[in-house]
Amino acid sequence: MRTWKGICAYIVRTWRGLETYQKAGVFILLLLITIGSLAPWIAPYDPLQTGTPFQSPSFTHPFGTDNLGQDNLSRLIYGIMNTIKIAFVAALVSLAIGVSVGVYSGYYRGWREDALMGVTDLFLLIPSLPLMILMASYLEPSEWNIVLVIGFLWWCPTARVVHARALQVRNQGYVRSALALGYGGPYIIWHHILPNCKQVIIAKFTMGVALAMLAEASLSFLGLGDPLSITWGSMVNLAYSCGGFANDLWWWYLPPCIMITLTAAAFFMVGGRKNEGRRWQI
Amino acid sequence: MLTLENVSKEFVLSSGRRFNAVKDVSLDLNKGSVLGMMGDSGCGKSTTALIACRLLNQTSGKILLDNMDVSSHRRKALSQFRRSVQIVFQDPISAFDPLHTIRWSFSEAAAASGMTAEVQSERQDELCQSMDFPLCLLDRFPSEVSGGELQRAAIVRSLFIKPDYLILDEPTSMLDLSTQAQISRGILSIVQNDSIGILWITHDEALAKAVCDRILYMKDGMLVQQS
Ligand SMILES: Nc1ncnc2c1ncn2[C@@H]1O[C@H](COP(=O)(O)OP(=O)(O)O)[C@@H](O)[C@H]1O
Ligand SMILES: [Mg+2]
Repeated sequence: MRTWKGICAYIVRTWRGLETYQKAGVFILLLLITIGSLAPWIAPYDPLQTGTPFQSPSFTHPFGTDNLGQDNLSRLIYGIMNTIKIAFVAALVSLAIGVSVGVYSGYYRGWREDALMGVTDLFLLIPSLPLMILMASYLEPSEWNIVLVIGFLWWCPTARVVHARALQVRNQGYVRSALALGYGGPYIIWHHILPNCKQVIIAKFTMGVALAMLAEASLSFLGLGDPLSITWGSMVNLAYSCGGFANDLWWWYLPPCIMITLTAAAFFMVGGRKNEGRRWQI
Repeated sequence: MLTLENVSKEFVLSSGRRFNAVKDVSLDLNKGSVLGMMGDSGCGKSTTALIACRLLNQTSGKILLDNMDVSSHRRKALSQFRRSVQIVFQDPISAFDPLHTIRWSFSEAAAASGMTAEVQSERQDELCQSMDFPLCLLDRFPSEVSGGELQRAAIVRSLFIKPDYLILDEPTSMLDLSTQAQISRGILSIVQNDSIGILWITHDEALAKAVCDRILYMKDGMLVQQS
């Protein structure tokens, strides 16, 4: 039975167990999400409202306006939730596939393990950037392409590490005891294997979100993203295709670049952990 | 009666070579008796124990429960067989899921046999008392109790669902001497009441001679001698 009190205690316990840099990451993300979800009240303009194009930074438009005269700051703020949402869904898809494959093959072993891990190794060989470019030339631009590419490529490393962890867990005494009590595979996977893989799963998920954000930026830049949805990647793309780079309108393309880097870094910070050797691990 | 009939186990190592850990072992474990098993480390005792409770598949040979062949049981039938033979491992630390409290693990055991909450708490009190496991430790996590206490808890859990047979795989070899004696006494006090069949794997010759009706000696995967 989970009461509110129990949940609060759990959150406090988890928070205390975090390293300082992880707390910093959580802080940045919470701040961004707060600003992002309050966008309609915080943003000075409607992101689609047009006006005088190509304005330089001023009091009324701190980051200037784009080729249609839309306020860059407002688009930046509205972009928070869109960008994070796409990255989140993409990471979730890859996580769902990767964890399922890793846990299933790690727990049941035998021919299923050989088959699934073989497929994983095959997918690992696919280079992601060329695939993205290939997709860019065949698919209609849409934000779901990013979910597709990340979801179907990033699951392999997840499957690998979860598989390795599941192999460790399945040989523990508590799994054998549960088997001796007559419990079957699904019960044991749900109650023992998955919870004990929690750490690697969370780490892989936050990495996945960060990588998905970077991929979203590159894909949008390549024109594979949805030109109508407001994301940081599409802002950079717009700046590029409308001469923002050529004319050095840095206030147009730099802020979204910085936001992408910052947010991705925050996700990395939350998920990264130091091992005993104090070296960074992904 | 739990019977192993000409059981062998061959491990395929990752190098591709094969290794015979257990060779042609036959033994009978009667309800209400204590069977000892001794032998050097690496001679195949744990492997035999895992095969006897069907947590590991044998390469050849049969396992019989009351003269009924259970070696090819699957799923439901296998679960049912497994519940009648419980096992306590050498390492108490890994015997409990680090993410759950000891109370949770006990409930897991109780749920396996479909006990009601009332029966469960009764049985819990009774077993914890006989095994000398303090009830105030129930809400702790495995990392928050000592190895000796945890091993007591493991024994409590293994007896929760009233198994017909209990396999003890060196249950005290990782504990200090005084704890060893206490735990052995606890086990004996419980099993004297229930008519349970025990396979007790140990390195302690004095203990084996004191409590076992019969002792098997194992060497290089084979039973070499009985006494
Ligand atoms: N999963 C395994 N794969 C390969 N070899 C194993 C495996 N488990 C045990 N062995 C080997 O089988 C032999 C018997 O092991 P075990 O039954 O654990 O011995 P004991 O419990 O008597 O110390 C050992 O030599 C051990 O290395
Ligand atoms: Mg052993």
